Amino acid sequence: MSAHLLSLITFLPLVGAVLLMAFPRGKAPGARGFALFVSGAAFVASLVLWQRFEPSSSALQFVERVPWIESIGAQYLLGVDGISLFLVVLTTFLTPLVIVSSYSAIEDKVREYLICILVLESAMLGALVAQDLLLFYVFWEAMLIPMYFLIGVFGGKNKIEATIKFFLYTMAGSVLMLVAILWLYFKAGPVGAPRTFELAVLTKHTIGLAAQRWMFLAFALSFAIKVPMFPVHTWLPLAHVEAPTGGSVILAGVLLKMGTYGFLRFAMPLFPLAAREMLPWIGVIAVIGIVYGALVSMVQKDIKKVVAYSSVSHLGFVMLGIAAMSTAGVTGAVYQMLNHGISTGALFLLVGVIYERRHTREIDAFGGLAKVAPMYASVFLIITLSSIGLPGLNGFVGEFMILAGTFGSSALGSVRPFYGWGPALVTVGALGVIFAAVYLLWPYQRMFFGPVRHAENLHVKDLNSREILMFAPFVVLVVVMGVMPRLFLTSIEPSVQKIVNDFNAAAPAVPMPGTAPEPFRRQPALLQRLQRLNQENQINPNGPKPADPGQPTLVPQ
Amino acid sequence: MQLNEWLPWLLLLPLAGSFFNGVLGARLPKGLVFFVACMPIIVGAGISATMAYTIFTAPEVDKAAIRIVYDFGTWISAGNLEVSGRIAVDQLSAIMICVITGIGSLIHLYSTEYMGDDPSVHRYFSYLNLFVFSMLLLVLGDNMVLMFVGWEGVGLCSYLLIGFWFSDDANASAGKKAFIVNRVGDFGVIIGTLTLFFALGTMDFATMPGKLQALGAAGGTVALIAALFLFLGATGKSAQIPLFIWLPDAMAGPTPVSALIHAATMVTAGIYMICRLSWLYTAAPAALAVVAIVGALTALFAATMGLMQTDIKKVLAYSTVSQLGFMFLGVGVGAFSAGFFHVFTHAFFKACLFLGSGAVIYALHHEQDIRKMGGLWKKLPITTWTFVVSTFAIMGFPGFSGFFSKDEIMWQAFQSGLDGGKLAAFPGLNYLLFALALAAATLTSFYMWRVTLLTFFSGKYRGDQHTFEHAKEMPLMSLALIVLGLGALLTGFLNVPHILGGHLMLAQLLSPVVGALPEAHGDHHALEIGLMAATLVCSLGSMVLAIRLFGIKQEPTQKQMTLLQTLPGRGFVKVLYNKWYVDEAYEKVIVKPIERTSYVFFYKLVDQFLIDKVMIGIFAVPAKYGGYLVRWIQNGSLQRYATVFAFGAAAIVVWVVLR
Repeated sequence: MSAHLLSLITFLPLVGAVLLMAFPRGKAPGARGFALFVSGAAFVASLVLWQRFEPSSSALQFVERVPWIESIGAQYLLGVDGISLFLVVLTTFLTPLVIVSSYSAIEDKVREYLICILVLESAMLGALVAQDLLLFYVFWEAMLIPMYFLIGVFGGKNKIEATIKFFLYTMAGSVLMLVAILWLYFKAGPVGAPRTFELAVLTKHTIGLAAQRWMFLAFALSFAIKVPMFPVHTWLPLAHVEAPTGGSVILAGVLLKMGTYGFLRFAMPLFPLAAREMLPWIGVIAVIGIVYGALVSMVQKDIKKVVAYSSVSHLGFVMLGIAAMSTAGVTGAVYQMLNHGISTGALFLLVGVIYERRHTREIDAFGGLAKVAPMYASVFLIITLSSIGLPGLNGFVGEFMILAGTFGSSALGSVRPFYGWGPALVTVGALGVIFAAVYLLWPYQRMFFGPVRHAENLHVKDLNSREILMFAPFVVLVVVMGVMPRLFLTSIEPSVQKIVNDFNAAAPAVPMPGTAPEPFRRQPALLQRLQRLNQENQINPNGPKPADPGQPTLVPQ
Repeated sequence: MQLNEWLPWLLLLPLAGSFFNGVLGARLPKGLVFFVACMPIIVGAGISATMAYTIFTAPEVDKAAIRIVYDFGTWISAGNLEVSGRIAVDQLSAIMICVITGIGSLIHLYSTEYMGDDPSVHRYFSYLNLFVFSMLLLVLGDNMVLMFVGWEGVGLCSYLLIGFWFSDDANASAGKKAFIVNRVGDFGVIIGTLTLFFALGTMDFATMPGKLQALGAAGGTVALIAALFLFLGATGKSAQIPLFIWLPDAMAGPTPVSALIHAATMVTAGIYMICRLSWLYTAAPAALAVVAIVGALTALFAATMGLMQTDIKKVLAYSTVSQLGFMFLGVGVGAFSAGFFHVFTHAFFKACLFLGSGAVIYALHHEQDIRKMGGLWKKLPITTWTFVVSTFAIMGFPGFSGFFSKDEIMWQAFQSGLDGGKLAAFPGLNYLLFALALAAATLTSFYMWRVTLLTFFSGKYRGDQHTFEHAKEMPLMSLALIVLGLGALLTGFLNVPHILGGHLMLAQLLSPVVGALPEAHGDHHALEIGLMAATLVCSLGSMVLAIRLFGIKQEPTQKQMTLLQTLPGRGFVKVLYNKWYVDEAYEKVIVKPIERTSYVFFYKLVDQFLIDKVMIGIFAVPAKYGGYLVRWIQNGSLQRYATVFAFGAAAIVVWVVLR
């Protein structure tokens, strides 16, 4: 079974969606039960995948390779490594819970809703395991269609505007990525061999710096929109506000990670030289996203918008970790993707719960809910604290790893004790830690504490047993991932290590002529200062390191 | 069973208690809730005492290296980042765990009576146990990150307990304020920790000092930056300038919480951290000077704010801020054990004062205004006398615990500028520090006697007679008061200075962790005695003044009473009463501008206009008008096609002909 496990997981939901079409209209309970069964089966299958995954290996596992379109060399090539493994599990974990949450939220066109969700699940899983650029692109675009319907059909009152904005933004990026993929297909790759879309092959044959810059920009724009990074993020709050709860959960939980995942899987390995140049800038934009997202989140009146903008801030942390290109930073970034998927996914579900009861999401329409619905308040608080990054819960582990990995990142030219981009970015980014407490605890106070100000809130029902079952896995995971992160980290780290090593080998961490990080080249004074400081601080507690000709240091020999 | 195998239980028992009461407590009888809440802490006190005994009675040869260690295994690891799950007891943490579990037990017992009637008492005990767990983790964690976990954990519990009665907006706001202000400090802790990690390659307390030494001269810069950032964290947690503003508001929580968290344990975490990192601060004299100056300024500043408060708990709150300032002054002049000694004595007398105020509030059915009290000594004798003992301790009356600890700090502050002292590089600073501390001590004596007299003496009770008749003391509450009162009386003898014939025992016990007390060159005995006497005269003077003003048996005159009633409304007193308007200033200068900028500039201008209108418009507008153009061309009308065709053909002809 191992041989086709990935195909099974990927296409099981799609098969389920096709079968759902055979269900008669209006038979909601049967359709729900069936969809839940199918997505549950996919989750179980992904647990088997995790169980059979070899954590110490950095290689692709469960590889499936079948010629797809032989005339152009496209392959059906799947595989997972430590980076995609848990994103796959996260996807299959969230989908059944989304279906459970829709039991009360979606009453019209139930069958169609479930079909969208299942098709979306297949597309996301496919994008996560595809190792062939064309295949990846097909899945990447396929994600758009069900999401388009989820927002456009099941959304709120501005759903059309939100759908168009979401679609155009994403398409604008994707098209450029397609052009870049085609360019790679024709121009890159081994000389004399048949042309290919295979990621591993294209990665090995690096192209010139000038070309890399353009290609990187095309990929980066596409992924940056998906993340979303500042300033191409404005589709997100609108999409979230208009999307149904389930759509928001999947959007925040998995879809956004496609952007960060794309950077890590495609943009960085394919164009290391260009990426190396841009790392500090990616870091700067990431940090702007952290602070900006937090500040804008703080002044929102709609709780769903608060959560939506908080995603901009959180994903900023993930991008910062990726920009650090150090093992700790990138591992933290991958871990933070999972954390964000869980805590923000749960937050959207929680917002959905209160929206179903009160049909409003205005923060000021609530107040004193902790008295009326204590269980709901407790779950909300735990998830909020996870999102704030309270140590002991999952968010802290990822954030701390990212900050630690960025602070001393050689890719960002950090020099002891406090010079270079690393410490600067971390110092500003860590402000996000303060703001996170503000933008989440302030609305929390206004919603849950104080007296019950509106009579409508006096009879808000607490969580029912279905909802308790729905949130229990989130609460457990939030704690387990905070206390025992090594359950996950040990599987993630080898693959991250490989990506970082390959990156460093392809684009050494030295500001050599022509490849110097842009900011340094512009500021020779700073560079000289750094070199001097580096010289002064060249103290190795384990004794002097033998000079490594392959890895020139910042100090002129 | 090895001794170190008890160590995890010290943590796990309160955690289990918290979980049990939090999840099931609502459905259980109160007796069981109380039992589950108190047992872990009492058992923990036993474990702690055993550990402390083992450590302090170790043979002389082992003293420097003795540690009781338990390893939970690696917590986080990736690349060069490795965070261990190791907890350890050494001399410093041994004393801390004894204080936490010891005073914690008393306060848990006290709470069973004080909070017994609250419908959410299970929730209260769940938070309180979680607090003890976090606080123990803070002092037991063997690396910066584990300490930070505890550091944030106590902050969370503080948030939850301040806002325990959340139906009142003010309480919830106070909790949120505490959390957010502390987060500003946590920012400093994170940056400081990362600076250390980057420079030293480790975050373990055991190995960091050696690595810093290996850095040589460059280590000084590392130490300075890290020490200052970490101190920002300390000013948050320990309520110092500029982040002290949350502590007075924190009095919104139940009074036992104020005693345990906001007086005896959590707020001393900043001093604990600096003691734990004494090697770092010693390597950065400039950072030490900053700590000392901030401490001394806070001590005086908070004392002025305490002068005119009318809420009994507010007075104690400012007094805590002020006393914490003394502790920072102590560690800031490099006398780490002196600062820590004050942590220790303060834990007893301030917990006793808070619990005493709680007993009064309980007896008077939630009355907290000292203007409506007086003459309570008849009704609440145990409360009164323990309160008086603690007031003697805090004012530094000879023989009481605060005398020894405060005087040690003041002497160390003065001698730090003498030849060979830690701050000799900053000439004159020691005089300033001493003067600030002396002024603070003088004011302390005054406002503490003011609150004591107005509450328990000053003639007759000034409130509702019915309430007075029914005022009574409770057994467990009294027990806690007596034990803490004894502590306030006696703990000073643990660290009697040489000049009074003692051996500074506590300083010696702690020296393996925080180093020996600094000693200036030369013989300064006469000077030391002289300064001690001067301090004493000042605080006795204010005590006498307070008695003259507020009276013991005789009631304050009508004039004094009107003065008291109308105090908060007038001139400079109003400024003091309103805490120098620091809160308002922060609101105007920091909070509001950030909020306005976020809304107007970032959200409305950048997000909704620059990005959504301008940036998108750059693409959308040409596309739109391009669309119009193309639509005009392709409208399906044959005549128009023919016209365009004709013009096109004519244009080509002209071009061909003219070429």
